[in-house]
Amino acid sequence: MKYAPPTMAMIEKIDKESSGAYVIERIDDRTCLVKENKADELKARVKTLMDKAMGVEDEEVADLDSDLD
Amino acid sequence: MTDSLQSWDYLEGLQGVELQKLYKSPPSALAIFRKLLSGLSKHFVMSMLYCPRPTPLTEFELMVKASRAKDRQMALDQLRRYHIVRETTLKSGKALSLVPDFARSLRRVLGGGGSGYTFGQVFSPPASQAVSVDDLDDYARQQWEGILGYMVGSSNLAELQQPGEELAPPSSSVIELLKAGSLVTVQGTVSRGQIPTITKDGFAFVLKDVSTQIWALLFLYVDNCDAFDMEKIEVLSFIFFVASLELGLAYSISTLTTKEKQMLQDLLGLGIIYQPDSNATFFYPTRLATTLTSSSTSAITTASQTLGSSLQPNSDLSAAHNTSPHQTPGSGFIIIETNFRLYAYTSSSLQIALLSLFIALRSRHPNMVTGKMTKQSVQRAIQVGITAEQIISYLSTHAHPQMKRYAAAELARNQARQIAINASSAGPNAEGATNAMLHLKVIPDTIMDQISLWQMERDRITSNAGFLLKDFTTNSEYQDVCRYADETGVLIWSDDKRRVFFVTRVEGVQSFIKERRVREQARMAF
Repeated sequence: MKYAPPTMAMIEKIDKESSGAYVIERIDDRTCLVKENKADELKARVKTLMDKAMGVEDEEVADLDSDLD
Repeated sequence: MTDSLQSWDYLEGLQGVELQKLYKSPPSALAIFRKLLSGLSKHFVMSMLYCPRPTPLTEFELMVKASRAKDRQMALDQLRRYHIVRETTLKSGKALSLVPDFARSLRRVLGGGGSGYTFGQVFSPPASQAVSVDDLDDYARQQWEGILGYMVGSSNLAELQQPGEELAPPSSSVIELLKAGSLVTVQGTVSRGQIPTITKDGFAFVLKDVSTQIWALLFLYVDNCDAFDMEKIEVLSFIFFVASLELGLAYSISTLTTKEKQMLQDLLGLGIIYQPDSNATFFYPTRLATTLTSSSTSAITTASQTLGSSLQPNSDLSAAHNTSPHQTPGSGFIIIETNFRLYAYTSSSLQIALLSLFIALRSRHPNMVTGKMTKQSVQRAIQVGITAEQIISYLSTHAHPQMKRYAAAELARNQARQIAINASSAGPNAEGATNAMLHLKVIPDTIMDQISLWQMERDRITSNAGFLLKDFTTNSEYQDVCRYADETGVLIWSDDKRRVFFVTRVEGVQSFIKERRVREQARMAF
């Protein structure tokens, strides 16, 4: 997996909380080797954590259009 | 996104023994030769086909320019991967020869001989049951649209559908196949009604061309053949047999085995085969079958256009908005404005359902639907696996001729402006700037950038499935192996400082490491 350095902190946090269920080896601060069947799950957990940290709400109101709507 | 749809690479996963069994069938050997091998690999095969003795590796080096050594290596690796060649050691060095079953089958295809029914027994049906090629195309299209419509959930767009537009649902065996391939998930019960939901892989599937789609489903069928008490190789051989038949001709089922007759019924549901009724003693291959193993781009394009034509907008209706005399029906129907409003001149339920995957549809008119691309609608699609590139590619491919004309005029204006600038200040930088502006951009930059930004916002991590190689004893070993991985196209990422790299396939690299170590040991001993 490749990502920006801040994401690494989140991945490490999730992995630590899950007793090392995801990461096989950390290569550098942008790359790590994860279990193949856990990659999608890890991505989803990072996304949830990041949205929570940034205060993004899942359901956003769709842009209304003065002509179409 | 990792593309988990089965493709021809599926055959790489078969064991050598299984492939040898497959090569016993001439249609299978022909299909693999035509569809799978690169031009250079084909050339190597033909050079060995009628050669009684193994060909020394040095001869392959002479066949290809030194500057194209990488291509030669890739072609030979491909032949090894599919167990088409085997290596022997001669006094003069290593040599390659074709495996006997493959060579025998390919020679039989080229020169004739063997069983009279290798490529089926042509049947003359009674005039009342004869079917034209147009009818076969209609049948195949209906079957295929039914499958795609079921996947994208066209039935869930009832409020946007008009009477008589409902697509015929696929057979239960096809639905089981879609579920087995994780292309859809189905909720509910048979008695109370089932609602299909398209998955990430399903999204990728519906946006592929017809040929890729049909093969993905066929490889799924092969993968699940155990459930029908059949062997993979039997199924693959039969598919390649069907693919070798001629469009418009009827074939007798009397030469087929019981299992093959059973497979024939399964292929009916996919629209690959047509039978007037279940008791008929003959069948017709449709265009979906006859282009399965075609290596001709024009044949595949014709099939996609013929069978995919109703995936395009209603030609009669779109013609009303077609101002170009050279415009072919169904060549484009989407207009998207820089304010993210979208107008699609189509009445196809399937197209509308596809658009609804990433567009918030607002209204439907007799020949058009309107909608708006929003952050929510795009991110909803991205969440289930569709990529920004796929959305942009779909919009560009189906852009209305008006958008294409506007883009062409804009390009011409930019070119004229650049020529004028170059004339006044000629220089290398001006040339570079000209090239950067010479791309035809059908979709406005604002739209393309925003879709990509919406994706980047969600997709902060990239992942690749593969193997990490590390702990190389020397730097030269690392450099050699890494270079080999790069030349054979399997290298994804490397870190020279740490002497680690990541590859998508490891078999070739492992062999290279072993051979290299043997060479090094021999050199040291010497």
